[in-house]
Amino acid sequence: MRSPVDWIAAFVEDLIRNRRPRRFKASPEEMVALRAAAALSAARPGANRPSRRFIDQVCADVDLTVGAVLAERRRHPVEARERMST
Amino acid sequence: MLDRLYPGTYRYVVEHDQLRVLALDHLPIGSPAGSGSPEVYVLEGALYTDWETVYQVNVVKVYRLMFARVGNRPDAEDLTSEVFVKSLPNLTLPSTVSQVHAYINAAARSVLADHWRRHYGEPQADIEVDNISRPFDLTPAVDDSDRAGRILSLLPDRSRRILELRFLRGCSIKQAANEMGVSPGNAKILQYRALRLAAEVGERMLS
Repeated sequence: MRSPVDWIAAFVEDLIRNRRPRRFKASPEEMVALRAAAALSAARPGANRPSRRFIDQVCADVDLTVGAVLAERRRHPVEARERMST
Repeated sequence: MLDRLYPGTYRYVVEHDQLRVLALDHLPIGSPAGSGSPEVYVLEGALYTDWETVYQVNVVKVYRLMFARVGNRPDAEDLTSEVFVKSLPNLTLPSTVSQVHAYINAAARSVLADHWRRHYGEPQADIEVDNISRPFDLTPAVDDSDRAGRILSLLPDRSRRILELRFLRGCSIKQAANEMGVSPGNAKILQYRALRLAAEVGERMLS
């Protein structure tokens, strides 16, 4: 079984390699370290630039979502509004 | 030039060496207001009239906000998508810039809190509200690097060294251990303690 120190080291390794960090149940103390690691990783110069591929992909996702919402509103204007407000 | 693009009444504000344009009457928002100048935006009193502009104006800011909190691209991308998918269905256009930002802001908080809870079991995510409320601030991202640099400079030598080796030089734990003349196991312990110290220093800087 991994110790907290090992989990944090693995988390940091994933951040540095820009991989999705592994998931684990963290104690409050570990959570403090995780967040500090995430903040330091994000502060690396130039690290926070999104890729063009991502921007285009989200744009397509947003189009789909908005299209579905508008279609729903047209079909059931009252029900759609009530559902969204809950 | 702005008056030609969007006829109306404006107030100009310079903050953080960037020009902000506050529209005093309702007009459609462009992306950005001053074509070719990403540092000039219409911020207040303007209306979003189409979904594409809502997305285009805000996506990079939301991504950077998410990246600043999770520190890695795959999660930041997923969370950014989630923020838009979550907030857009609740919006009706046209809406004012402040209304749209409030929706996106609330979605960002909720998505981040859910991320930490779902994947790391944090019961009550302690989201830094002041920072979360700044996704639309035009403060340059370099501020994050400056803040990290200030935090590192306040740490004891060995703590600063292990974090610099790992985060700035991208060393593996073995390489960092070699550089510091300690075992990999000791380097991991040093790193864990250094991160917790860095968090404490960061908290003190905010308070």
